[in-house]
Amino acid sequence: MFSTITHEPKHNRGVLNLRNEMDRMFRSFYDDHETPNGHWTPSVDIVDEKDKLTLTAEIPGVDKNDVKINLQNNILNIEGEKKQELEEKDDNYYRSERYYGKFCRSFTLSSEVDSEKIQADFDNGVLVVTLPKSEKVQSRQIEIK
Amino acid sequence: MTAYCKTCLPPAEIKQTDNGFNIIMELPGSSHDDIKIWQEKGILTITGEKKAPSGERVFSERVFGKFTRSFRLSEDADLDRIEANYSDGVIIVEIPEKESAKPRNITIK
Repeated sequence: MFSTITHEPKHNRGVLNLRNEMDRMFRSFYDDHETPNGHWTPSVDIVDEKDKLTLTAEIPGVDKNDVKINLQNNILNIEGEKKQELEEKDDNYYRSERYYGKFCRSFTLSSEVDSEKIQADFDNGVLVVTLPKSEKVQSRQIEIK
Repeated sequence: MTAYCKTCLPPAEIKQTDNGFNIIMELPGSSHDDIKIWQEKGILTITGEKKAPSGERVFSERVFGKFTRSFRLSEDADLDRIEANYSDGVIIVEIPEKESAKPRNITIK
């Protein structure tokens, strides 16, 4: 079973709207990808490597100009918006499982990151944030004299 | 209620356009070559693979693997003119309606 959101033409709203609201309520219980206030949560992976952390976030269909990334006090904040093309025609019936709207995610980074060297790329709907570790926290082998 | 298989199937959207229908599917991180689309007996199938990048994940929400989704097309779909584009992790399959299926005005003689 997978969740679907059914968008109905305006004149069909009413009972169906109630049903959609019920669906939405159940979905918010079982599916953490959409919060009740209409925001959504992109899936994120973090890979910890020796000299850097790499964060990847799936944000397909988002314009890179609609994404903001900032780092403050070791908290990395990514926020943006997936804009929906609004074509509110009465006969424009469509079915959607996609989430639209604003998203915001914050991560407390365990390692100290060199904020000057953070890089972000956007490729095939995946945001890749490379966070190089500052040299003083990078582990190094100490020779016994 | 059983748990949703919420991420193993890429989310899709079906939308009516002026020329027919668009099937839109989110496939972030797939490359152009990983996706195949074909039509057989009026059923459009999209298959592909989301490949996991290398490295040890310390935080993991993304799902990787193969997927297949099929859609039964309307009899009005013009199967010879289906086109697909992939950009920014989103594939858009444009399925135009046959000219004969479009509404037209009939002149009174």
